[in-house]
This record gives sequence, structure tokens and C-alpha cells, in this order.
Amino acid sequence: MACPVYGVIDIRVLPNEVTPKQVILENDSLYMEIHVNWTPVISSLKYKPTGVELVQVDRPIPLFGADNRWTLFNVGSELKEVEIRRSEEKVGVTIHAYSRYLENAYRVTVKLDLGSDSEIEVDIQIEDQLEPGHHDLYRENNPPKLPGVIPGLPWLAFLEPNKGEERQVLYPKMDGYELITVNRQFMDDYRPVNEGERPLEPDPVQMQFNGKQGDPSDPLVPTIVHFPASNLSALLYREKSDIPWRFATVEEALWPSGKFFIPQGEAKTIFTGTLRVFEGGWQNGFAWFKENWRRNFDFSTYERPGHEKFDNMFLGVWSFVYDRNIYDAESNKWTIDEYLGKAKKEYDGFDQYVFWHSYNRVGTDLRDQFDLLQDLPGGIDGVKDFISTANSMGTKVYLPYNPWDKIKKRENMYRRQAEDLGAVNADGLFLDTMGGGDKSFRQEVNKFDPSAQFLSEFRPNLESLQFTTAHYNENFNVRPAHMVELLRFALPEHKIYKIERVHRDRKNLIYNSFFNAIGYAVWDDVFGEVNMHTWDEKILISRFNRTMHDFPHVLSTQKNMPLVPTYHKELYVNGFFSDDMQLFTLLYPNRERIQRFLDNRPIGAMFDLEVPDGWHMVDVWNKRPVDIKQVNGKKVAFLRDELADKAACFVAMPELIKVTKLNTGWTATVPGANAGTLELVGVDNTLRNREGPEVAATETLHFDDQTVEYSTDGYVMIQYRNVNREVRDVALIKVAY
Amino acid sequence: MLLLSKLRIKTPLSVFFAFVVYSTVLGETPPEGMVLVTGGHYHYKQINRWREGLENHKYLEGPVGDAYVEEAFVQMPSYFIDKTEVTNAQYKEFMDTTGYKPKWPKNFLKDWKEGTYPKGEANHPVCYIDLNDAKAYAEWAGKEIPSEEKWQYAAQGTDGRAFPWGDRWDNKKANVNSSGTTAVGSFPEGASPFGALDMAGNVCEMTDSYEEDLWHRFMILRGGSWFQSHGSIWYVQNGIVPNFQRVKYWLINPGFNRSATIGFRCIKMAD
Repeated sequence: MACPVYGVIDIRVLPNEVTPKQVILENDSLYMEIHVNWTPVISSLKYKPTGVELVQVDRPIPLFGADNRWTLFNVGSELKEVEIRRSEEKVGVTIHAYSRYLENAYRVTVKLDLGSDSEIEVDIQIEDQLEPGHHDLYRENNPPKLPGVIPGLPWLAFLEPNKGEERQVLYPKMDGYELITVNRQFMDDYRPVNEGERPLEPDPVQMQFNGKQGDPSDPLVPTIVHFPASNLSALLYREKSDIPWRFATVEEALWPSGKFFIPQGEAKTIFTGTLRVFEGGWQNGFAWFKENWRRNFDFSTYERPGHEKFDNMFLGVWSFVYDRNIYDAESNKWTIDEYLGKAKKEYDGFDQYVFWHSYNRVGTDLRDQFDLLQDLPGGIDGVKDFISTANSMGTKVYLPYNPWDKIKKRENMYRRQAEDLGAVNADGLFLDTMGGGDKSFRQEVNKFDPSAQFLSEFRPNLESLQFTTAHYNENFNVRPAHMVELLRFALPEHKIYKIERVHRDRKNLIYNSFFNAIGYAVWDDVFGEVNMHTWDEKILISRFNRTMHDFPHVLSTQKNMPLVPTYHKELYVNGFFSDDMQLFTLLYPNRERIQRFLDNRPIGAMFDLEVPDGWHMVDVWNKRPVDIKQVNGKKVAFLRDELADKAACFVAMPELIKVTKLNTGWTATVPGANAGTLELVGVDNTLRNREGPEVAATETLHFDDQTVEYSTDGYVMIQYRNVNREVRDVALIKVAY
Repeated sequence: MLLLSKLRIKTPLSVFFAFVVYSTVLGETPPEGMVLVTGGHYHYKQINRWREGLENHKYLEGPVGDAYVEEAFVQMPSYFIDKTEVTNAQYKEFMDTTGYKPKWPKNFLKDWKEGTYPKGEANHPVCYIDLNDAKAYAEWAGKEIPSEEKWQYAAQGTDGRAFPWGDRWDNKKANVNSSGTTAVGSFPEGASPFGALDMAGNVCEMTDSYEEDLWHRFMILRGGSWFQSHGSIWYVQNGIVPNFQRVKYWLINPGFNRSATIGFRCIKMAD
């Protein structure tokens, strides 16, 4: 990231430190001017390397605000105390704002610090200084309309390098991030003036990075605004806040505010975090956030022995065990082998199986979830055999844990669940209704199987994320397929599975899993309500599953880039990188609106590439060629034909496979290979892969147009896999038409 | 059974009573331990509590929350119904006579020891049996397991009441939310309009409603039991369950299906 760092840091107070009216903080990256007036405001914020002023004269940034009619804004804080701090590393100012009026017993403390970088550390606290017998008398006679204070923090909304300049906002929603572009009119239209213009209890669409919905303890949200014309971005990163950040709409996210109640005499944190200004797009800001966030993350659960077995998992199934497909009443036996065999044909196999026996049967009698497990076919041994069979077919099994089931007043539910986990050799626990497990649960499970995985139903908060290495991002609302799972890019070690129980059309969700290269869980039997995946969804899942499984070695690295800049407005691309491969998932969600007279055809240059010479590129999703071309001195991914589908998967890699055309047929070799395999992959007319002949990579593969099925475009694929079965090169051969 | 479904005719009360009298089997003496349920025209209305995977019929937002309702006008025949749930003693007589052994015995009569029921519980309802165990008894006794409609009609009569004795719940008229079963007939004030006892509480009663859809096997339980789960909305409805309320019971292996809270009673068709 381009952030010049020099050594000069300065702070000045005007006219003097005894009666300050203006404070200036400055280093070689930023110039910041604070006016200590009616309310403290930032009147100037200049990014010095490019000389861009981010604050317009008519729109200074208030350091705090309130909608509550009788508190901060209306009554005001006419008393200000300013403290200056100077050290070698940073300079800072603390402003205390409070009032002598009875109506406003709040004391707000704002701390701003500037180091050598282009970022300002912010800490805003509010304290209720109500004095018994003084302020409370007023409150008794003038009860507030609202139970607390609504502090405003609309910093990003105020930043505006050029009046009217469009801005891109990476807008966080409950289950992902969406990149939107808005203009100043939009901002002005939605500028909240008083409490009446904004719903006090917005719908619970929460601005969150990784927290469970409604969890105020997890405010780690990087909100980024990009100003393309100025090539400048700003990032607001919350480390701590007592405000439950909930936003119903985009505009509320841009004007963040939250309501909380401050008990008498207590203090709350409005915001502790960082405002960072940087050059370039939001990806630069995200890279900074990722690096900082990971630095303080405890990876010990992710690094424990045995955890690597969960690395290459993408497709799960949520199974109601009353399903006749997994139990035969005539023989009183599980038939999980038949079930998983069928899934292999339909979906290319399940990696993960959530075993569900409790809800909606528990509650009939005194048997709780643990008792019921023992009464299943074959008892504990039967479930153990079930899991063993599933494991032998490559599927890991998770037992459910229902924290709400307290029919039996058990002394330690965690221990009891851990005992069952150990007794049946389950691979992990599905944490029903929970946003992750905690340390004590992890410790109990570790006594029986330290490698067992926690898979929670909802997003874990920051603390739980360190014990819970996988979760479901359950879909309750229809979302665009191009929503970005930012957590996946910041923490690829953590597995996310998309799942849906409400809606009938799940194609968008499947595309979303593919686009983010995360998992997907099939849920056909929702506690007895059957919501089967349709034939075309099954094809989509099968293609997704195979694609993910072929390239885990590039999808699991730390090197990735969400929303790679593209040459097409409606084209969304995520990038995943390793030293010898680059994989890009592409999504063109509005492909059905493409037409010849509109300038929206996804053809030609798609996005820039930084790959070594000698690499080539293949669309392994659509089984079509992609060119790497030099355009204006840069390498770009280039399509000679329009994108064939709303999705694509471009893989760039060194050209290792050599294909030779013979009079009848072809041969393929991997010159220099001394291990691995060479496999001919057929393509059926739904673009699913079909197994073909395989030879050692040291040998020559012979084939012709009859050896395997070819796509409707006439293509087959050859894959070179190394000894770890990782695909290292893909050659696309047109054998027909 | 004549099914006059979907007919929404408001029948004048006098015509309705005349119809009931006409269809009554006058003078027939019920077999021992049974009561006569006189046939008649019946507005049958059942409600399924909302839960994933339960019934998907007509949607109703009722006073007890979201539910699905299904209703029909049916012509009920006359039949006899056991006055009480089948008891341990009655089931032992069946066992001793027939030597019945279920194919899959797990949890079969789990509360019995050495071939007999717990001391002092001869007249408690038999439980830890599945539908096949119940049907075997019924066949031996020359009876049958009631359909849902027949069970509900016997519990409710013709006025659509919520509980056997009326519309208002009364803890003194049924064994609910207690620590276990009570001897059958312990709550004579809880009698249904036809004189059947314990149709609310004590044990949930199986109906001859075994069904298979393409994915599952299930049956319907009626009447609620002594056991009331507390602490979560996610539990199966049990304890206080109105006459018209169905509880869908997913079936898996017999050992799992047999329960301390589920029993049955039989019916016998009148001549």
C-alpha cells in the first residue's frame, strides 16, 4: 500500500494551549485540523502525498453527535477541556466536552492520536455524570423520549475529496459484503437530521464482519469508502464499541449510529479504532486490515494436530435421520452406504454430514438428546458403525449439540456431549443455534478428540472464532450471488458453508459459494419438510464441488484478493494465488440482460494479470479457452468469445502438459515429470467432469475423440496431478466440431 | 365413512340433533370396559402446530400461535371405545396368552421387570410399546386401533370442545405435568361426552395413522401425556394437548419409537 512514512510528527494549538480553539495534527502523510467550537469538528483532513483535501468547507466532520433531543446536540456541551500529548512516536489530543446544564449530564471524551502513518487512532467514550439530587430531579420531571443516547459517527459519509464525486462503498451485510457506488445526492438525501427521519428499530440487517447477529461484543467491521476520481480510499476500523451496530439499509451504514442505554454513573465506549487514508482501491485497505487482524488472532485451534483433515471440505449435507434413505425399517439397519453412494453420483460426493436426530422429536418424554442417541438403530455401536462407514467413503460426520435441550438437568452438558463424540468417533460437533463454541467446551472435547471440529449454525464472534473452525452462513433472505464473504478472505483457515432452508430456488446461493470458494451444504429434508434440490441445482453443485476439490492447494493459501478490479462494470472476480497457480472465480450476475446493442458484453479483456511468461489459462468451469494477452503493456485475461455462463473459473498455471496431434488421435505427456498422474477428463453435456483413463505422469496418454465424452463445444480436458492429487496443469483439447 | 369434505353448510341445530338420534345405535350394550360412541354428523377439525416438516394444509394464525388447520364434515358410524387406556394388566394377559414377542425388542416394556409390570401399576396404562405392539394386542382382543377421526370424536363429541370435559383446561381433570402415569380412571370428572376417561393426559395415545411419504414414516399421537417439557420452544408438544391437536411423531426404529409417555386404547365397531 502506498503510504509514505517519514519522521516528522507535529501538533499545534491555536491561539494557545490555555484557550485552545484549533488543534492541528500533522505528519508527512496527513494534515488534520480540529475546531473546538460548539461541537468539536474535523475541519480539514488532507492526504499530503497527493494534496487531496478530504473534508469540504461546508461539511466538517463532527466528532460525536446525538439524535436525542435533550442531550448533546440540543443542549450542547459548552465546556471543553483540551489536553495535548506529545511523544516520539505520536502526538495526540484529548477533548473533554460536557455541560453545566441539568439537561445534559453526559461527558464525552474524544482522543485522537497521529503517528507516522496515514492513520488516526480514535477513542470516544461517553459517561453519565448524573449527580444524585441534582440532575436526577430534572430527569424525573423531564423524562427522555428515548432510553439512551444515539451517538452519530458519520465520518465516512462526510469525507468527500471533490464535491459530487462518486464513491464506492464496500457495504457489509449480514451474510456478506456488497460493493456499491453512490453519489453525493444519495448521501444528502439520506442524511439524518433528527430522530423522526430514521427508524429507531431498524430491521436486523447487521453490519458485521464476523459476529453473530445482534452481538455487540464483536464490532470488528472494516468499512471502506473509495473515491475513484481521486484514487483515494478511507477505512474505518472498529476495535471496540458498546453500540450494537445494526443497520437496515445502505444509507444507515453510511451514517452509522446506534442506540444504547448508559446506566447512571457509568461510561460506555462509542468507538475505539482507526481511521486510515490510503491511495488506491479498497483492496489495499482490506490487505491492511487483514494483516493487522491476523496478527492478534490465536491460531492454536487451527494448528492443532489432525485439523488438516478438514482442509479440503466443500460440500456438506444436513440430514434428518428419519429419512428412509438412510434407515431401512425392514432390516432395522442404517443404509448410509447406499445414501452416500447415490450422493457421489448426484453431487460428486459429500465431505460433511450433519447427523440430526433430536429436534423435532425431543420432548416426547424424559429422553434428552443424549438418551435419544442411544436408542437409535444399533445404539451407540450402530451410530459408530454409521460414522465409520461414512468415513470410509470420504465423509466426515458431525453430531448435533442442542444447548436448549435441558430436559435432564445435567451437571455438565459440554462433558456429556464430548463423551458421546468420543463414543461414536464423530468427526465434530454441529452447534445448533449457536454462534460458535467457547473455551470450556473446547477443553471438554479435547479430552476425547482434540482434532474434532466445531461447526456452528451461525457466525462465531471473534472469541468463538478462535475455537470454532467452521460455521454455516445460513441464508434467510435472498441475496445477490456476488456478495463477498470477507471473512473467508481474511481467514481462509476457517470454513464457511452456505445453507438455505426457506427459499426454493438456491442457484444464487450455490453460485455464491462458488464465487467465494467456500462450502455449500445440501439441505433437502428440513426436519421433515422436503425441499429437494432441482436437477439443475444438482448439476451446479456437482460442478462446484469438483472445481473446488481439484484446486484446494490454491484456494487455501493466504494470498487472495476479493473483488479484483475488472474491465466490465457488472463483472465480479475473486482471486486466489499460490506460487505456481492463480485461480479466479468470475460472476456476471446479470448475464440475462446482456444484448448486442448494450455496452455490457463480457468479452475481450476481463481483468489484469500478473503471471510469469510461459503460463497459460483455462476456464475450467465452462471448459473453454482463455487467452493471456498483452494489452497496453499489461497482461490481461482475455476472452475471444463472450462469457459462456454467468460464472466462470479461470485458472492460470505453467504449461506442463505437452499434447501432440497424431493422424488418429492425440498423445499427452508431462516432460520432466517423475511422479504424479495424467488423467483424461471427459465432459458431459451439462459440463460435469467424467472420469477417463489415467496413466502415470511418466508415461504417455493416448486418446481419440471416442475415448471419453466431450462437451457440446467439443472439448475434453487433461489434468496433471502431483503425488498429492493436486491438479497442477490443465490442458483443454478440442476433439470434435 | 362418508366424507362430506369441503361442505361449509351451517346445519340448523334441530336438524343436527335429529340426525344424531337417527344414527344412534339404541339399546346396544357396550362390551366390558368400553363405552358406546353414538354415530352422527361431525364437523371434524384438526390443527397441526407449526413446525418444519409437519403438515402443510391450510394456514391459520390462532391464539396459540401459528398452526395449520384441516377440516371436513363427516358421517361417523357408531362404535365402542375403551373407557380407559389399555393397562399393564390387560397387556400382560395378552402376553401370557399369546407369548407375543416383537421382532425388534429394544425398549419393549422397558419399565417391566422379569416379565411383569412394576408393583402397584397393574392399572396404569401400558407404555414402551410401538404401533405394531399395540396392533398385536388389538387383534388379540378383537378390536382395532382408532383412526384419528374416531379418537377425536370419542374425546370431543359434536360441539368441538378443546378438552374432553369442555373448553377450559382444568388440572384436576387429567394427569398432566406430573412425575409419571396414574392408574387409569383416576380422573372421573375428566370424562368425555361419551364417558371415555383419560383422553387428555396420562399417556399420549397412538392412532391408526401410520403413514409413509416418499421420505419418512410417521404416525399421529393424540391427547397429550403426563410429561410436559419445559424450557424451550423447540420441544415436541406434549402435556396439555387439545382434542383437535395432532402431534406428528416421526418413526425410526422400534426401540427409539417406544416411549414412557405413549400408550393406546382400542375401539370396536358396533353391529
